[in-house]
Amino acid sequence: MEKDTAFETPGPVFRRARRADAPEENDAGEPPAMGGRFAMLTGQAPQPGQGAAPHWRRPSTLTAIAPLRPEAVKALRDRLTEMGRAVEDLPNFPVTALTTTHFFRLLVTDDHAEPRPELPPHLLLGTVYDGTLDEHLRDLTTVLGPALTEIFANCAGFAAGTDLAQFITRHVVPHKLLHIGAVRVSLRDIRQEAEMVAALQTFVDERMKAGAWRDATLSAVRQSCLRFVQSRPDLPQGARPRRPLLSRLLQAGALLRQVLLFLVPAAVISWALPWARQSLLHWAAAGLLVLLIVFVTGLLVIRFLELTEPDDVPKEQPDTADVEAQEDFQVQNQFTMLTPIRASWARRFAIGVMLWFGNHLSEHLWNRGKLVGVGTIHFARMLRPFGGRYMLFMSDYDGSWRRYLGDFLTVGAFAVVPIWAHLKGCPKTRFLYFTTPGFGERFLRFTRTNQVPSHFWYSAYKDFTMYDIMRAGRIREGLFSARTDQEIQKWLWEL
Amino acid sequence: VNPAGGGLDRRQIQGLVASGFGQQKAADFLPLSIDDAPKVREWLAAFLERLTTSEERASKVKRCLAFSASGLVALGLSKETMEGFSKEFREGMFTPHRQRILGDLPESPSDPYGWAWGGPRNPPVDALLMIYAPVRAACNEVVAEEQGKLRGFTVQRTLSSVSLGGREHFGFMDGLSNPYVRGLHEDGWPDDELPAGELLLGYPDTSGAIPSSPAVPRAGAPRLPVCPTDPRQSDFGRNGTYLVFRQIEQDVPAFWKGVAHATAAAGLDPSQGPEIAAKLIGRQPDGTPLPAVAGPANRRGQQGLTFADDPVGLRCPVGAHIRRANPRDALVENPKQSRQIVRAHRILRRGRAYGRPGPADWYPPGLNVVADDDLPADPAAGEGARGLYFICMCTDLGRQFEFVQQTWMNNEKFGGLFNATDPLSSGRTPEGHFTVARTPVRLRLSGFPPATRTAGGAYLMLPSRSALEYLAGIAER
Repeated sequence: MEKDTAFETPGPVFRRARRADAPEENDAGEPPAMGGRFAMLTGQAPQPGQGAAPHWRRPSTLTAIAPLRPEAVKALRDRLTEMGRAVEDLPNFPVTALTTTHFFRLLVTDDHAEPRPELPPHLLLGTVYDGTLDEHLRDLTTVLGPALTEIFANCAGFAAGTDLAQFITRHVVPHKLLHIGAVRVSLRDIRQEAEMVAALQTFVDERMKAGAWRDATLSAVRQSCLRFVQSRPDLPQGARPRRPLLSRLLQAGALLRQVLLFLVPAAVISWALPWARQSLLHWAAAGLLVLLIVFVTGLLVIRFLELTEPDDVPKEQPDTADVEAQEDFQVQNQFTMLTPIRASWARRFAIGVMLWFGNHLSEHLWNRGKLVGVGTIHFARMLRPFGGRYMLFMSDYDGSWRRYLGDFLTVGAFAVVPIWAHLKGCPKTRFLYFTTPGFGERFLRFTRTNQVPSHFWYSAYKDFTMYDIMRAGRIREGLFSARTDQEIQKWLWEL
Repeated sequence: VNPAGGGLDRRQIQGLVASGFGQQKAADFLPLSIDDAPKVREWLAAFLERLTTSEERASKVKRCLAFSASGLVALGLSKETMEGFSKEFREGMFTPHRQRILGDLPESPSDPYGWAWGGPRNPPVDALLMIYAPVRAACNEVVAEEQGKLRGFTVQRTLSSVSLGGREHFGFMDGLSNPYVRGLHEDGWPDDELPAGELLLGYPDTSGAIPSSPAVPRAGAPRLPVCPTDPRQSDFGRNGTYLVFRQIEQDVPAFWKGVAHATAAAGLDPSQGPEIAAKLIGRQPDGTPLPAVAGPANRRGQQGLTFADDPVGLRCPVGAHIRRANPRDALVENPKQSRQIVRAHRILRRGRAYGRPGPADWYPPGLNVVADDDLPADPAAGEGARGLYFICMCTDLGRQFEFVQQTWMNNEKFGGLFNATDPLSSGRTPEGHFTVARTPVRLRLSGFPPATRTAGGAYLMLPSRSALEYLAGIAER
C-alpha cells in the first residue's frame, strides 16, 4: 500500500518550543497563533518550525494579512484582477504547478461595495494546503517565488532582500473557526481518486455496451471492476488507509481538554457553594446550574444589545459588479467577507465564544463532509484580524452564491445566524436565533455589501464538488471492501 | 377597493396571473419599442378599457400588457422608483453574469448576440402586448385591430403561437405542474400551494415578508395602494408581478436523433428510444409521470408526485427534466425540509408553443405532434423554426426563476450527478451525460447534442391595473 502523507502519525505536533525570532505581534494586530501543543488543543493553524496541524484537522489553512503601501494599492489591485482573469495561464505565476495547495487566494482587502476609510488596505494571502507550513511555504516560494515576492513587495515593511517566507509568516493571522469538508484527504488523494472514478466509469460504460454483465452476479461485476483497477498501477490499489488508533486517541484527548476547559471552572465555582459539597450528584447539578446561569445571563445581555443597538442593515442594494464578475465560471465559487464586529465588548466576547464552539463542533462533529447539514463547503474559515474587531470569512464552496447563502438561511440557519448576528449590518435577531419575516432578503443584502472580491482565486480541482470528493472516497472504499450484495449494489449506484 | 387581510383584489391583477387562457388557443405576443411617451400614455389610458384582469372571465379575447425596465423609464418613472425594482429586472436578461446563470453563454448557440429580438444587438424591448383569442382567425383580427390603435410604439415583430393540444414540439405534454394561490387559482395539490407573495408583489411570501416593491410619491399616485413601509409613498408594485419571456428554439430532429444515437451507443435496441426519452423528461409523452404518486388524489382528482422514495432514480432519473425543475421532496434528505426549500423556488408558467409542427417521420412511431387550431400566416419567424415561448411569473427573479435555471436545470452536478445538465435546457453542454439508474448497473448515455437554444427574451413586469393607470397619467402630475 502506498504511503500517504496525509496519514502520517503526528510527530512534530508535540514540539513545544517557539522559535526565538517569532514576533510577539504581527501587523494585523494579532498575537501570533499558539502552535505546538496548543495547536492540538485548539486545532489552530501551526506556526513555521512547529510542524503541521493535528492530522484530524488537515488540510491546514494559511492566512497572511499585510498592510500595503498606500501608493501601491491601485496598481496591485489592477494587477491581481488582471491575473485573476487567466488564473491557470500565467507563465510567471504557474499556480497549477503547486503540489501542496488546494485553494489559493490573493486580494486587496479594501474593495468593498461601501468605502471603509477606517481600515487601510491590506494584502491578503489565503491558502489551504497539505503537509507542514514549512513545506507549503517552500512550495509557494519555489513555484511562484519571483512573482509572489514582487506582489508582496507592495507591502509596508517589505524591503529588498526580505525573505518572502519569513515575511508571510510574520503576518499570519490564525483562524478562529475552521471547517474542513473532506478531512484528511490530500490533494493527491483527490486527484488520484477522481482519475479512478473516471476510469471506472468508462470501463463500466464499455462493459455495459458490450453486454458483458447481462447475467453477471453483483459480486462478479465488482470483481471485474477490481481486476480493471488492479491492471492500472497509476490508480489507488487499496482503500484509504485506516486512521491510526493513536490519532483517534489524540483527538479524544483534545476533545476532553476542550470540554474540561469550561467544565473545570464550573466545577470550581460550584464547589464554593456549600450545598454542592453534599455529594457528587449535588456537585454535578450545581456545576450545570452555574453553566446554565452563565448561558442565560449571556443571552440576556445579548438580548439587551439586540433591543438597544441601531438597525444598521445597508439600505441600498450594493453594487456587486466586481464580485459577480468572478462568479459562476465553474461548479465552485469562493466567498470572502470582511466585516466589523458590532462595537461592544459583549459582542466581541460572544462571537469569540461562539467561534470557539463552532470550531470544535466542526472538529469533532461536522467532520464528515457536511457543515451544519450543508454539504457543499470545501473549506470555510473565520478569522478575527485587526485587533479582533473584524471578522474575515473565507469559503470555497460549490454552486451559486444564492444557493450557498440560501443554505445558510435554511438548513444551516441555526448555527450560522447566531454567529453572523454579531456583525455590524446584520439584520436583527431575537436571542440570536429567531428572525423576523424578510430577514433573508436583508441578510443577503448585508453579505453582498460586505463581500470583497478575491482578485486572484485558484482551485486545484475546480470541477469537483464536495459531493464528488466524498463519493470518490466511497467508491474507492466500496471497490476494495464491499462484500454483501446490498453493499455492492449501493456501491454500483454511486458509479 | 383594497381589501385588507391579504385578500386579493382580482380587478387589479392582470388576467394572465389567474389563468393560462387555455380556452384561447391562439396567442400573439408583440414586443414593442416606445418612440413617443406622451402618445403611449394616451394609448394606454384607452387600452385600459380592454385590459383583461383576473376578475373578468367571460370575454373571449384576452389582452395583457407588460413593460421592461427601459419601457418604464421611457414612460417617466424616476430613478428612485426604478431602484425599488429588483436588480435582475433593472439589469435585464443579458449581463455577462446573467448569461452564466441562465446558460446563454457567449459564443454558444444561445448567445444573446445572436438573438432574433431582445438581446444587445436589437432595439430594447420596452413593452410586450399579449393577445389571446379562441382561434387563430380571431386572434389575427384582434391583433390587426390592436396594431391599428397603437400610438407611440414601434412593433418590433409579432411572435405568433400555435396550439399543439397541450404538447410541446418534442411531443410531450407541457405545463402540467403549476403552483397556485388560494383565492386566485383553483386549488391543486397541497404542496403546490404558495402564499400570494411568491407570485404577486404586495403580499407576504414564503418567508412571511412582503417582497420589496417599487414605490412612487404618494402625491402623484393617490389611487395606488399606500406603501406598507412608508406612508408618503404609494406601492407601484402591488398586484403586479415580474414576467420572464424567453423564446426557446427546439430542434426536433436533433432531439429524437440524439436520443436514438445515445440509445444505440449505449448498446440498447433503437426501439427503446422513446423509453429513454421518457426518462429524460420524467414523464411519458402523454404526461403520465414516471415518479410515484404521493397519497390519494385530492377532490379534483389531482395527485402529487414523490421522488423521496426513489433516491437513486430507478423510476425517475435524478437528472430528469421534471425532477430538476421541481425536486419536490427529494432535494435534501429530509422530505419535509426539501418541500420547504423548494417552495421558495417556484414559478408560475404560462408558456406557449410556436412554429409549424414537424412531420410524423421526425418522431418515433405512435408519437405525433399536430396543431389543433389553424396555424398563423407565418408560423415561425425563422426558416422552419419552432419551439416554445417560455413565459413565467414570480416576485423574485433571482430567488425563483434564475435559481431554478442555475442551480437545478443547468447545474451539471445537480442531485450528486457527475456532469449532466437538463436534457431540455438551452444552456446544456454537448459533452454532458445522462444517467439512467438501473439494477444492477446504471446506464450512462452520452453524445446527444443540445436540442434547444435561446433565441430571444426579456425580463418584464406585468403591472397592476392601477399601476398602468398611474403610468398613463404621469404627464398630468
